[in-house]
Amino acid sequence: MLWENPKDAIITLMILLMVIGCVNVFSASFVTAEAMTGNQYHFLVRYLGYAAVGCLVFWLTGFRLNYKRLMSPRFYTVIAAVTVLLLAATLGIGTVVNGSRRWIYIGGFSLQASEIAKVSVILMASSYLGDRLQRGLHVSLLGYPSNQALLISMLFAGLIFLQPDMGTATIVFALMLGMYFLAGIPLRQISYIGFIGIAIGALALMAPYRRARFALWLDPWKDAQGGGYQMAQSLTAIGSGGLTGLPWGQGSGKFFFLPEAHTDFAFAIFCQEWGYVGALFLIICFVILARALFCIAMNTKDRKGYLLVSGSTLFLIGQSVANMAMVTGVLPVIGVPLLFISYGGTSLLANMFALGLVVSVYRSECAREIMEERIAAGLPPTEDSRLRVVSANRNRRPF
Amino acid sequence: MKKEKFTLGDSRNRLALLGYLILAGFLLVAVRLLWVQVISGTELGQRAVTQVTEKIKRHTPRGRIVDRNGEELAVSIMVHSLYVNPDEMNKSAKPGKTGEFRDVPRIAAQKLAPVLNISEASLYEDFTLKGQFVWIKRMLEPRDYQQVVAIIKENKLPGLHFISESKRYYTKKSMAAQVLGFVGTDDSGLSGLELALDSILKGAETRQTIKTDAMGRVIADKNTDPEETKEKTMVATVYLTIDSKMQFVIEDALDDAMKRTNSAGAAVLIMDPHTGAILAMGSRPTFDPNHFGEYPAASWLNRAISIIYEPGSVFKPIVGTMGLSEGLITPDTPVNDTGSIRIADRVISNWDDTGMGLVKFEDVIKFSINTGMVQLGMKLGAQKEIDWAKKYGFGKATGIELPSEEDGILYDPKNMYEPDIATLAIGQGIAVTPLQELRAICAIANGGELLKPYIIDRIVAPNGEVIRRGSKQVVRNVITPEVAAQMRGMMEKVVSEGGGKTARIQGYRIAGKTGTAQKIADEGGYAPGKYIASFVGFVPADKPQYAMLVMLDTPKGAFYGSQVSAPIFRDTLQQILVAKGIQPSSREGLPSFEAHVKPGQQEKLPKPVPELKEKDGKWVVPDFAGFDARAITAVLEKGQLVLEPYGSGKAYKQIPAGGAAVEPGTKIEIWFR
Repeated sequence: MLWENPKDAIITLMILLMVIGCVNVFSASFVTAEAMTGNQYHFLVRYLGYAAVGCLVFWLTGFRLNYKRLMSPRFYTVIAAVTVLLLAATLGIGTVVNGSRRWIYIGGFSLQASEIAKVSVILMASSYLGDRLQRGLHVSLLGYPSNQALLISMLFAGLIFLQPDMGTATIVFALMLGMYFLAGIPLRQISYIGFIGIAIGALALMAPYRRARFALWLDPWKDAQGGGYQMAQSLTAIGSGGLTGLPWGQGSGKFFFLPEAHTDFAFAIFCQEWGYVGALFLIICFVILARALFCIAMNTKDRKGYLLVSGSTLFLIGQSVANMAMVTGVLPVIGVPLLFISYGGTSLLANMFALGLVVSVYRSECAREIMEERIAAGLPPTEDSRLRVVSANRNRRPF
Repeated sequence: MKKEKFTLGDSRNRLALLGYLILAGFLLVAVRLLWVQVISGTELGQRAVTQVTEKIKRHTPRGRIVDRNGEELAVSIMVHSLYVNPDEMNKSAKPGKTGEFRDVPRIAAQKLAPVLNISEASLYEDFTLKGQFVWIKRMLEPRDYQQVVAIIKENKLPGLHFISESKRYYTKKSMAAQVLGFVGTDDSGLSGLELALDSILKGAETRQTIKTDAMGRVIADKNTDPEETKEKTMVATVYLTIDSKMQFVIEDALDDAMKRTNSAGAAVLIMDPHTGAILAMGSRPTFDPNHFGEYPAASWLNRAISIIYEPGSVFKPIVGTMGLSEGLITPDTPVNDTGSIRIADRVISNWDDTGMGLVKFEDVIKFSINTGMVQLGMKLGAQKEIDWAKKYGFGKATGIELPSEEDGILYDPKNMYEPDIATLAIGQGIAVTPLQELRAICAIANGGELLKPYIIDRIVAPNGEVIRRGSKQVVRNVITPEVAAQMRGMMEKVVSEGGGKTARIQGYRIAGKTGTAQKIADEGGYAPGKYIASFVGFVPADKPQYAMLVMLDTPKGAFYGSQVSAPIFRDTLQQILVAKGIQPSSREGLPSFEAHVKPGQQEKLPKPVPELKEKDGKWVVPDFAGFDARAITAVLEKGQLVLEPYGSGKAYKQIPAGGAAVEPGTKIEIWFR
């Protein structure tokens, strides 16, 4: 086996996906980069730069930081405040690109606050809901204070919605709902969510233009030059890859045919140049990564850590599967990136940070397990400890 | 509701549920990809190929047209046409993440406007259109092209590109313009030989498949090598029978004649009477084929082949050969010239209304006696006249390689009344093209062979192989060499002794015939005061080398063929004979013309017809005494005055009297005798 434990699996797959991402981002972006900046390596260099910083972030969070320090109520308040501030700042001083304000440019680098909001949601939910889960408190979407985190995430979503970026706003809110789902909201409320979702969907379809978009999602070829253009181009790119793909760099999608070729639709370029074989390989990589993440989640006893890993998993893998489904036309077009494959600086850092948190939780759980084994064996909790356990009460948590 | 404690285990169950949902999502994507990539992959792949490939046409230079000696008349070179890809230009106008904002269309319009000579505003408009291809200027001059390239490079202007196109240059400007024709911007011949030989001359058009991006720009790709089709760049060269030296002489003479006579149009033709090769062909009004669009379409018309007119007296030698061939007359047959002759209800008079009494038939030709010709015509009869005209090739296009040649008009003999039979003998009631007329005269010159005229000497492929060669083609033998020789003799006397003396060249034996015909009006009938003055002839009379026709349409002032057309013939051939080194005939062969002047009649070099003078918006009518109705009509027409003639002959009395000022439209009564 290439790895002995889920942590190594995560690190291995992370490096593998980053290498694939690098290669694909370059192929997908060099034409745009040449046209925009005159340097075809523009996006590749930036991707590598972000990846390097991302690795540092991963190492720091995974191996130098105890996630529990991020789980304090004070840090919870700080995260909420900083995120709201950043989102508000984006609305105030963000640069308008394609009609919406999503990025703040600082010294040639861009910051996408909505990506940070996603991580904030995970941290806040884990900290707040994990505490309630641990204390056996009731969690509800409707009762205050247990819906506090939900309300804050609604504020995030609202600010993102104003950019406007409905897709990301939905994701931020849905991520929080997912956390509540895991934290134990009553089944009744789940069915409410289902009903409300269907009702909103039905209401949305009352508007003719939304119906038209819905119809185009089902069949983009009806208006391949208009509303269905991006989807049609995406399918054309994917389809032209065939079983084994075109030679690397020779796919035509990136020649301004496919919009967002190196960001949200990078997977289409990957499919074009590596074919079905390559696409399956990539999916299998993601499934293995997902399995490793779930494995860690299932074995984490610390409630906050558990929710942190679960949330990160939903965030990383959920978005990835949503992106693949969107690019292949299974879902309508919503702007979600594909982990490591889509270009996006803040997104890459946020992903690495989330993975770092997972590793941090994993390491902490391992340490706890060893400690519990030592206690069970009547040894001090750690080798250098001078304490001795007098009563081996299994139900009592050591910390 | 009973509150149950929600445990970690419960949460893990929910997480597992989400995990399976995600796994299902991955599976769904995998299945979807199987469908998109493997099952419909071929179709979508085809779609991807279709949208990146573009078929472009590349032109190679059009074939050259050169004269018989290889002198270039029309050549093509590859020049560059500028176009803009507005999408590309405007995309880079947007602020990039790093670069500062640059209004590229504005900069480009400012910099290029002076070089291209297009206003900045209209350039800016083109640059900001939606789309991927807008022509800015086609066929840039090489100098301008270099400037534009420099500007694009210096200012880093995106979206501006060139396409190579074949541009036609007519090196001798308007020389033989109607013969050569012209070429449109898409390298297709629109007129003249360019049209007739378009398929031969047209540059090889090679189709090439290139890959382009979504904005129509070429994707740099090794697979599309623009050099791959370079071998096919040369196409055939067309050698004309035209001799550019002769052509130059006639063009010069035509320019001069147009200036002098103020004619509405003119045509000059020189033909080799033994082969039918066209040596020079000129037409007026003319144009410069390099800028044909700046001239009216009427100037594109090749009057040597595309107009029809009543030949008038230049037709008489042809009718003469009919009589000789039919045995109705000999050169010495006596003919009684009465000055005028009545045929049914029509009176046909001589040009001067005077009769010469009993003359020989050769004098009928020599002095262009209408009455004598009418008598011959009546003897021939309708059927024979038309049969002979057809034998001479009238009424049917000659088949020269030039486009839009006219057939001419012949009577159906069944529909001819006696006056029609009579007037045909003097070249009226028949419509011919100048080329038909000259060809018929050539048959007399060469001993009876009616030839198919041709203007293409040879067409040579790039490898030196002659694809097509023009050569003498005898349509039929029309008259016997003896008849031809008799008529040549008579025509020589026209110049040496008769009405064509103005065509005489010292030392050369020249045969010819003058002609002055009333012009057919567009609405039928004759246009009053409008004449076509022609001269047709060949030199040397005994061994003809060049046959030439001069036709002036509606000359102002003097209008007789002998006055205006014959001198052109003389001046032109004089230069050509000297240039071609054709030696004068011996002195003794030269006729002493003074001895042969028609007895009792001085060759009047007509005194100039007095012009109308304008005074306070009125016309001062000159004294017309001594002039004939034709000349007076022409003068009066200028002032929109109406002639009310009484009698015929020369004017002797007029109302109002000479020197009176009249309003335009006034009726002028003139008595003739």
